[in-house]
Amino acid sequence: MHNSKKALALFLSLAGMASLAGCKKSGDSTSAGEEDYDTPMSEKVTITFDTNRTDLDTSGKFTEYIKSFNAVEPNITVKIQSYTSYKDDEKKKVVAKTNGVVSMIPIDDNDQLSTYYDSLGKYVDLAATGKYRNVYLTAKYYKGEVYGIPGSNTVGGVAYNKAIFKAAGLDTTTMTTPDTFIAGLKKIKDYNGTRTDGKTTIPYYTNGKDGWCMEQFEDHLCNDVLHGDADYHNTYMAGNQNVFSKDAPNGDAHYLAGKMFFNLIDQGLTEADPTTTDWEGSKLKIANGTIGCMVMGNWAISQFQGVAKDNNLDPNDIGYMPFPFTAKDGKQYANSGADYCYGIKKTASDKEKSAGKRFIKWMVEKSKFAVNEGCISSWAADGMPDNLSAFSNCTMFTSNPAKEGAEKCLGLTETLAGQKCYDGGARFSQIISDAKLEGKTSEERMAAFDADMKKWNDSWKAAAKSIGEQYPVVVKAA
Amino acid sequence: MEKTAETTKSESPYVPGVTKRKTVQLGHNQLKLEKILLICVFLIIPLTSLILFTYVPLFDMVRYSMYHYNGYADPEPVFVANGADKLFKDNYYLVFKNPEYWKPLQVSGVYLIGSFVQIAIALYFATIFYFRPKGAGFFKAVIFIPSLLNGVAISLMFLLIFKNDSSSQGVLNSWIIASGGQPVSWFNGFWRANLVLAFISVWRYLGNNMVMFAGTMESVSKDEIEASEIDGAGKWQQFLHILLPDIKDIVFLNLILAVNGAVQVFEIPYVMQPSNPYTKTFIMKTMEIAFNQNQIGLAAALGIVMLLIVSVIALFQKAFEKKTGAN
Repeated sequence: MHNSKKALALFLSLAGMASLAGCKKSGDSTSAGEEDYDTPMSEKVTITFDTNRTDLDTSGKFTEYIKSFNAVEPNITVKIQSYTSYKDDEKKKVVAKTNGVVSMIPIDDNDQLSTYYDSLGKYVDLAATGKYRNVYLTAKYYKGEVYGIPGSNTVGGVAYNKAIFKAAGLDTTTMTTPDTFIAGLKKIKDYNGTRTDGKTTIPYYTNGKDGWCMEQFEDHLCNDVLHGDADYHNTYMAGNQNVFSKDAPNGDAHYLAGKMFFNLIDQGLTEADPTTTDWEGSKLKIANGTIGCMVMGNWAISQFQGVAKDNNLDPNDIGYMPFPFTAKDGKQYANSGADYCYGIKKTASDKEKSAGKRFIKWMVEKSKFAVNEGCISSWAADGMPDNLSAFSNCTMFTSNPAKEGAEKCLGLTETLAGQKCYDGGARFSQIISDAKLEGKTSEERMAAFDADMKKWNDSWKAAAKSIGEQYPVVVKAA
Repeated sequence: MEKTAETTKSESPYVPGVTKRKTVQLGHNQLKLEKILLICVFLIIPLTSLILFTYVPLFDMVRYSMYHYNGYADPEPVFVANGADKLFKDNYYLVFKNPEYWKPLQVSGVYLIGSFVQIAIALYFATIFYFRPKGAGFFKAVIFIPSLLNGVAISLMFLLIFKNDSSSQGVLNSWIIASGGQPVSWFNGFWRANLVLAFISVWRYLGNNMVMFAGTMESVSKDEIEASEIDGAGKWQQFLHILLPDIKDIVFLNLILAVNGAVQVFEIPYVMQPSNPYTKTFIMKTMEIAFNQNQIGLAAALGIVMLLIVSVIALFQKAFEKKTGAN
């Protein structure tokens, strides 16, 4: 009895395994690139998705997206993990290999991507399909391979309250240089004096407490909106000896923008105490006219409009204008770049990778996620957002990936100089404290600002000189 | 039972013929073994935690301080010279050469001044409580409770008090405006910002010191106090000549803890003023270097330097203890 039962059990399990072996062939991608994405996956898989959008997670928007995804791929379960200090937390998880199968890539240095992320395809292949906005595929590009596709792409500019600007008699098409911008904001200050409703508007809100808000300003500078040079950020900045210099031959974005920022604070056009600001509160304030304008990416517009709707304010009051720089040739440039990119964890199982790739494909191609966020989609078929109507006269450009041989240079210069171009807003905080020095005249404050700029320029200059000698490719021919 | 001269032998539970001495030794050894086993079993958990969560990370940090490491690439050893690495100096050289990294100690200096004030006020309250006033229990609780509160909650609360925002003015500035003055930016400027933050620290930890002093004072006998009262001594003299000498050791211990605390202050300035260059403390600067500038090696070196500073302070304390112990 025992023996026959055992034999039966053994036979049945062998038969079971044989049938499973038959199953394994279909729907599973063990050979790269041979997968049929049009047939839904037949096996049940659970994957995790790490994202920085805690607001969409708590509001349930992501659950809706996943539900729509499951209508096409019923066997893939997607679990969401979101964190507020996303970049820091996710970086640690990526190194520890405990991140989700699909995650928004937190790593800035492209030469590190292949260690942690699977390639999503060769750039030439993806670009040739014509289905993507190819310029954004270079965001996570390294040596021909694309490791991440942007979930959304943004343009930098200045968000403003249309009603206040109109009431103060401002025309944003004339506010195209630092001087005209400051003159315009001064008019808002004058307007405050004539108001009868007892309210005041802060012309410019720095959001100085949150370093990342001030880095929105840095976006325009590191990406050289002043000259529209698409090779500046990833190639030439590393070898540029005049990044913060007052006397740069062509004028340098960092000094000019820093001076504009300084003047905004020095001339009382910002909030009284930039060290105790509140980002979440500022969304409502720009919607109801307590704030005149802020430098933000266009991803913020839909958030401001959402807050406006929630508070019975007019979402059309939120306007968007280009950053107030005009190049010497009279053109205005706007920098467009990728926001976070979807990436596939390198150490996930083949099944998980296949499921993850299907999820990424769906999010990029079908979900209209970028459109819903008011951003530019990586999928060419999706339309451009409405909030860029004022940018028709601007030349939009995206920074190119580093030139051959220069991939590590920006990182090297940054380490040698002891400061990164995206430094968590530390330089801007220093400008704020220079502008707010008490008991000093305006000239003395300006002198403190110049001293700080000189200090940053000297350290960057020395570093750029060394790196330029080592890697001549980063030195721009005059 | 026969009463013989070998009563002791027959009373022992062990095999007769074996001397009592040997059995006692056997019992002793068995007990000793059990004792050692018990101690080991109880020590395993704390020892493992200590090794895993303190010594292993410490060892790693010393290791990282010898590398240039940006947190996710492979660490590049400082001492390997190849290409651009020749341009990098050793992390410790950078730490000692750059005055930027020593500015935070000036900030700690302000907290230290705050600590002296804190200890003085704590002594004052402890003395008052020594004389058992009415409602002592209530006031002790009121002074002590802040140290039980969550640091982030305290920081957010004081932000609401000290902020300067014309659209939703802070509490303190509202009072100032109501009494006809101009609102003040409390975090503008080195001294003002740091004194405000030091004040919040004092408010928070006053209770800790006070409770420690009050507890030690309890052991001072009332006889001397009564005798001195008969001699006509005032409360201040009683404090200076009777209470203070007896609690001198505890006060000194608290002073050393204050120095330690001032060097390592982090929570309140980090939540309240993360972007203010005037209030960056040593640990805040280290974190900025580690996570904003992606220089883990340099940050590790800074961490080790802080460890050395704290160790020197601890050595002072040990030396002092030895001195008073010898007395």
